[in-house]
Amino acid sequence: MTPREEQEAIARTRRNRNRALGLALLFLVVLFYAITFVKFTV
Amino acid sequence: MSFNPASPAPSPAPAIQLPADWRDFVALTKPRVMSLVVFTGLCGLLAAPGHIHPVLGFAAILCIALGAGGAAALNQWWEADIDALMKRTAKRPLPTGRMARSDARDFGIALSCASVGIMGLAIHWLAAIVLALSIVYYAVVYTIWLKPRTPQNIVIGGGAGAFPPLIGWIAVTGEITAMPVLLFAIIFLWTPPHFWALALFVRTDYANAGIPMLPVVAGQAATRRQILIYSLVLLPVTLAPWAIGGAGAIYGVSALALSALFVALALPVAFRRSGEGDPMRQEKRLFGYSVLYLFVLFGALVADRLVLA
Repeated sequence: MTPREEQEAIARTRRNRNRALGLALLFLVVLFYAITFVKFTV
Repeated sequence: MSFNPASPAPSPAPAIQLPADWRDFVALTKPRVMSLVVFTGLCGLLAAPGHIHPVLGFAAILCIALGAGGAAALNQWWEADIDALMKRTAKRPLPTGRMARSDARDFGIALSCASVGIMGLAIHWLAAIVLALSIVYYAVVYTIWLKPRTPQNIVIGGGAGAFPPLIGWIAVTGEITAMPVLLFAIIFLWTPPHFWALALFVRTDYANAGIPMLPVVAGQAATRRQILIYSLVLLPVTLAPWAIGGAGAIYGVSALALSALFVALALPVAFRRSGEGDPMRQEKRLFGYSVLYLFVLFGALVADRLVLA
């Protein structure tokens, strides 16, 4: 693997990690909203 | 093409160390174990008398799953050196060096705290306390304290895996009664024969890693005897929910048939001897059946509750 390919692989892994973290946080936001809605309306 | 010993062999290109991928973090939570934890937790939740809003029910199961994942991450953080010595665990993210140990520790702590916090705030603080207890039990009492010290590690450590149906039940009812304690007892008694059947056919792995599993310390004969004893004790305990009126005939008949088959499969394991190169078919069959057993038994409990409802 050339240094350039190496850098690309590292950047790709970091990008995928950030996307996964973003999705997890988005999911938690939706979940907290749903929990709050249920607890204060039902 | 001829080989010239005088010429140096081309050295392989040094492997680059990529930062841990998100899949490594998922692997850290032991997803296969988590599936059983989620299933038994869900069964506890569905079998409990009462009603929980589906969103809160989903949040409760998510908390149980996150708690189990956090405890599994902390387990792998602590046992990274041991995992590297065993074939079964050598490809995990920490032994292969794909992830820093501190990352696994921090991930485990974050998952554990988040699961307990959400459970307490959204569902019930008693459920959150029991969830926290189960995480500490697995990560500290079992992993750090018992596993490297005593051949009874599996017996006492089995308690950690027995918590999910109890937590699921408490999430609905908000209290601890005889039924969820019986569900706890079923998994507690099921764990030793399940793991000892596995330990019999991966005995050398545990011996190489220096873990005092029963087959390594007490020998095969004692382990086989213990498997049978626990299978025999498990049978009446699985019938107890039916006997006390906590479950109906669907569960009762299923529990009787499943547990009788468990004993029938444990018998040949108990009374045989194995030597070097033994394929261990009976032990593997018992191990495979023990996984199916728990799924079907708890499935029958839920089916019974749905029919009664």
